[in-house]
Amino acid sequence: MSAPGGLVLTSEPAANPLRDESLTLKAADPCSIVVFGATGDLTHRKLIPALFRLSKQKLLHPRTAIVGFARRRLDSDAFREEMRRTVPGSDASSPEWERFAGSLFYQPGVFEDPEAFRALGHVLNGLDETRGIPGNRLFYLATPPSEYAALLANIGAAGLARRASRSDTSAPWSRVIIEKPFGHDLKSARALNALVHSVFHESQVYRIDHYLGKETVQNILVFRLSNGIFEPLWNNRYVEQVQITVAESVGVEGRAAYFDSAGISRDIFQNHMMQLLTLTAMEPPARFDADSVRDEKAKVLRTMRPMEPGIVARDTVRAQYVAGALGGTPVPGYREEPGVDPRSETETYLAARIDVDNWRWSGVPFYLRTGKRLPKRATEIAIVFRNPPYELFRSAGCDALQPNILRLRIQPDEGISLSFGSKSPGQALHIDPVQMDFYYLTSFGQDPPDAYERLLLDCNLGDSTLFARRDEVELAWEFVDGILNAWRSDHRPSLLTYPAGTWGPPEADELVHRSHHHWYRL
Amino acid sequence: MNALSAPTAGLSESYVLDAPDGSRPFDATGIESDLRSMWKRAGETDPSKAGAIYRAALSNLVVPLDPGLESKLMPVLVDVTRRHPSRLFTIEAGVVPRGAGLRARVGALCHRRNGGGGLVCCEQVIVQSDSESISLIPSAIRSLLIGDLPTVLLDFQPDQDLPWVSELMDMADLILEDSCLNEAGKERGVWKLVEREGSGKVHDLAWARLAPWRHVLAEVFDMKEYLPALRTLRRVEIGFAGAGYPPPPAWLFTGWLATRLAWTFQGADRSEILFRSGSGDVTVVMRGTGSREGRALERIGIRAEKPHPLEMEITHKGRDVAATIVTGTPRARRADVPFVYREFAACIVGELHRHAPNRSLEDAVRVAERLMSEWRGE
Repeated sequence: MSAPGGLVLTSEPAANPLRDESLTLKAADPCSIVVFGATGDLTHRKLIPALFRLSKQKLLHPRTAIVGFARRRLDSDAFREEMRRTVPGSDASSPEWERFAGSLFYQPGVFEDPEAFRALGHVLNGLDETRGIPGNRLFYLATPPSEYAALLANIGAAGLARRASRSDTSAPWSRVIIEKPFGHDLKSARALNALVHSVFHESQVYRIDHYLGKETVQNILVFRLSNGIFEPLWNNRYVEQVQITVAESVGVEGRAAYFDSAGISRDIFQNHMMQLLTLTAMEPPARFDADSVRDEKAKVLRTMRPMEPGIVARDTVRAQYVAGALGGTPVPGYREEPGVDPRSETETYLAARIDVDNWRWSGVPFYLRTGKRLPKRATEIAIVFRNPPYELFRSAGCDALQPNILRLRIQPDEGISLSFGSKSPGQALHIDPVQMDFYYLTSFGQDPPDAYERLLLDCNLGDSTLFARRDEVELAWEFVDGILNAWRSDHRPSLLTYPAGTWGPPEADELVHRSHHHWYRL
Repeated sequence: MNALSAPTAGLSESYVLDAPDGSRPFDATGIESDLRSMWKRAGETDPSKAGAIYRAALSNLVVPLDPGLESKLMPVLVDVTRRHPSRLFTIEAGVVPRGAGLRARVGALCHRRNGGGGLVCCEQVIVQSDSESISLIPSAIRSLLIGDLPTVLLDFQPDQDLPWVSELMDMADLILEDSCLNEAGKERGVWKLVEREGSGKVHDLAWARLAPWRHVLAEVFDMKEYLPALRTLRRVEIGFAGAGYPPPPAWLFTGWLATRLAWTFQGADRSEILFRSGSGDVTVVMRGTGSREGRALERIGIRAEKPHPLEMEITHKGRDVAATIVTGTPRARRADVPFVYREFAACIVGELHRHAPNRSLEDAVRVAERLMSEWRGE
């Protein structure tokens, strides 16, 4: 009998012939996941529920250990009980939870105390021994950034950040996930990166922006690059403008202290919006791997026209909400929010026109707007196409054509719609815009999975495609610093106001009207 | 649409909705009209009771359903539509009295959205025929397919060579078979179909269920320490649940190993199969563990000789989330590794997402079929 398709083994097989093309999914490595800030809000709301869902789907290795580390004096049983309350009631009493809870451990400690990290090292070594973990470590910094310096220094001093060579896939690895914000300006971002690199190599660093874990954000590239009809249109010849909106209906919601020092520019614009913009504008990568994708995103950031003071004055709008009504309910102004300085000059709204000076996008304005206390929660990218060169039907009495708009709905109602003109039924020639809609829910019957699930798993698997690289972060800060510096200067534009529950100040409308555009309704 | 009926057995968050009019003589226009009215009535359902209702479909799922299997298979189909919304056609051929002709009724399978917030519903069309109208079934199905969605034939009775099923196969974009459901001795029917139609169109669910085993073995030999032992393998023991004649997964697994490792077949008898590798003879033994009924693999034993000796046993039972690997040589070690056991419905949906031809399956099938012939002395 012949051996069709078989591989002939050489004397020293370089590749595993059993790893065939149908076995593309890589299994998660057994590892210890250490969550610093384990009693905090992020751990409760996002991390433990996401890890539990991964465990339920059998995507975590059964020998995985999850070690909570925080100041509070708890033992592992009390920690498990506290974490049980983070999942829905029906799950909390399930056999899956019991199995997952068996992988939860707790180690109390102060972030500034080197001894606590040595004790943590002993705990991790013990778990390696008892659970058969080959020394792999994943550190999650779920703490305020102010804690990073002490944490990183002590992780390094305790020898927990061993560096696996990228080429040696069989050696134990250590990785660190860092939550945004990655600094509050370029200088501090560089300092943070230097601090991180004093302990970890860049290949070990996973800067998490949960927007990148959203299916809808990942789908931007899939949509553009796997469909033959869209990518040829994705340039200044066919696209007239791009609008990116990240609208929040909530106010500061218990984050007043942080938000009042950061503003919407640091909280959303520098990270989430830059990610959406780069994914929309980037060139197709040579390969779909972490560095190729991030190289192309970085190129977009390099080609964005710098925000000189004159441009900032002309092309940005900063504003703060005042009392208004949202969804029929009166809401206070920003300065009346608990924990906010009554004289605060912090912006809660930012609109900007950004020009991407490259071959593909020259002349196409990218309008970005984000704000709090806007009428609804919605994140969307609208690609507005140019009208046909000759409006044939105007001579037949039709009004001006509406442009085709491709809307990538990131959240909620995740999906994509395309509007186009259609003849209205009847004898008269009227052209009305109609929509073709794709909803994740009605196509796939389920809502997209949580972003943290995907990102935690990717980090375990060593795939950093959906994490921000050092140069991306610094380039984004370099761009946003231009705006922030201009806002600090003597010639800064005045802080405008808008009533809560509206789409921002009238000046934001004027920003786009100058180019005979208008914001599209969400 | 009627109010939501009782949850489907075993799936507490799923519901079956029946249109009130019941079965009627088949009429494609009438069926579409029934579906439209069903959704219209659904829209009038008190939202406080049901929540929003979303109609979803990613494919046409066509399932010939033997009445004897219905109670076992309907929960699987309900779960399939939960994971992969589809317009579901269930076909019950020859079940209505002679003279009744072709009949149909509509309904919906609905699933509570994760985290609440309404129901996601899939249309179901139940087509029944008397014995004389069976040949009309394909034309009835064809008239109701959603045109721009792929058509999937889920064939749970693969060893029945029926002309109307063959016609359904012709109209399908994808055919899911399960060689484990064939009667003993007829397993090769599915594999012949794979060879004839190609693995892009015909998938064997028995192969899909082997994926965790292949993953585990591939992971083992991803380790540099063990990889050279693939060259010096001398004996592989494949243990399967139950006893007696080896089931399709055992043959497919052997076929997969033989093609991946470039073994050439030397001979077979009822106790073992002999191959030759680049470095010597390899014996494969397939044996029932006798542990219980079933056709799943439960144990793989591996022995390799010097200069890369390896003795290893991998075991997995039932729905365990881990497999156990016990290594004797080169050094004693025991480890649990993830074993991604998947429910039947999850296996089916996994195959629905696979669009490319599966060369590994084609290779494995070709060898498995040959081995089985030799074993039987054909």
